Amino acid sequence: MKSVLNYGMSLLKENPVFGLYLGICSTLAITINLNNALGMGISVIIILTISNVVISAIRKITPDEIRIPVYIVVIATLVKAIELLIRAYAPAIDQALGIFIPLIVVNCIILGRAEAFASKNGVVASALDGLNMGVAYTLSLVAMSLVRQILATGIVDLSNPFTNAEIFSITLIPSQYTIPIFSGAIGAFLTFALLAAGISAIKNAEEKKLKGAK
Amino acid sequence: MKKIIHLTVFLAIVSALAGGILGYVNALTSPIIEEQKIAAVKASLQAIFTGSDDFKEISFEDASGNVINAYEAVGAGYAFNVEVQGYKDVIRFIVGIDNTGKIVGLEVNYVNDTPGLGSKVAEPEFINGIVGQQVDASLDVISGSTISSNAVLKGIDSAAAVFGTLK
Repeated sequence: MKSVLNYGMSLLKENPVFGLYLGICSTLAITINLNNALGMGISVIIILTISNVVISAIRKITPDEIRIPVYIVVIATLVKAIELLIRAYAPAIDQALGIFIPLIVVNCIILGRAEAFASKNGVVASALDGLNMGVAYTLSLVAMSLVRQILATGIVDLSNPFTNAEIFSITLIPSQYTIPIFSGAIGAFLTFALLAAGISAIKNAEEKKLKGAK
Repeated sequence: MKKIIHLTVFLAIVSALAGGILGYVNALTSPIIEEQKIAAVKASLQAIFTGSDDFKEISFEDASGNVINAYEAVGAGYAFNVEVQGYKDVIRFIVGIDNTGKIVGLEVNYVNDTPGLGSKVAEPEFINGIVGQQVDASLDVISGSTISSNAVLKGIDSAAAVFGTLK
């Protein structure tokens, strides 16, 4: 249990969104509800893991001068393939996320990890890095979407992306006390700022503790 | 020189592989995506063309820009997904025209105009006034919410124009 907790904490701290401030555009835009967050998160996990593996596998034969174009081709191919698969098999996600799926191509997390990690490390390590970063990104999306959805609608629900059937739906706040502004752009920025500040506070407190121990 | 050729060939091979993979995925998914597109409007289409089950999305030319999609109900007629500007928001509807040029159905899917006034274009009274008329004649409708109902009429005219090019 403790190791799971530690893993979670490390994900939170090394988090691409709240730690490195990468990939924020999509984070702000799509975290209106839990469904969107999970749909986007899982797409990114899959794309990031595969792109890391492919880029790591061809890192020795990729000429240094054209590595960025090669990475872009690999990432764009994966994103397009995933987009087509989502459109075919999970039209609800396609409807909800729309343009943000093709925009994963320019999500800096993916190119960032390709350049910073996969191009220098082995296939297995790169796969794990992609998975970790993807899960951390997904966790940030889920955290953002939970705050926003609960405050804006008072309801948390999740439905099966393939059939659109509801899995669960819990009403937490009666509808007269909800704050609809949280589903809009202002709510996205507020939530992001508050969560980022909270995580910074935790990090600072831990650093102080470490210094104090020395 | 050798370096340049090496770079060019490498990027060309990577791109060709990528293109091949995408071609394969596209071939795999495009029939399913077509079906999904139809599935979203199939309920409306079936309400218009009762008894038809074979719908195809077709390509068309529309000078007015109001017609978004066109569907063929094989053997029965055509349906058009139309979006026009209403009083304060767009109005989206599907109009079905059978092969003789008669309006066989009107399904208003989105209207956000004044409740009780413009919103009447989605009610049976308005719809029944339109269904059954020939598209080549001028359409008669109830008066009242002039802007919303005129917008729908304009949309039907656009659909009728596209219908004319299809026949």
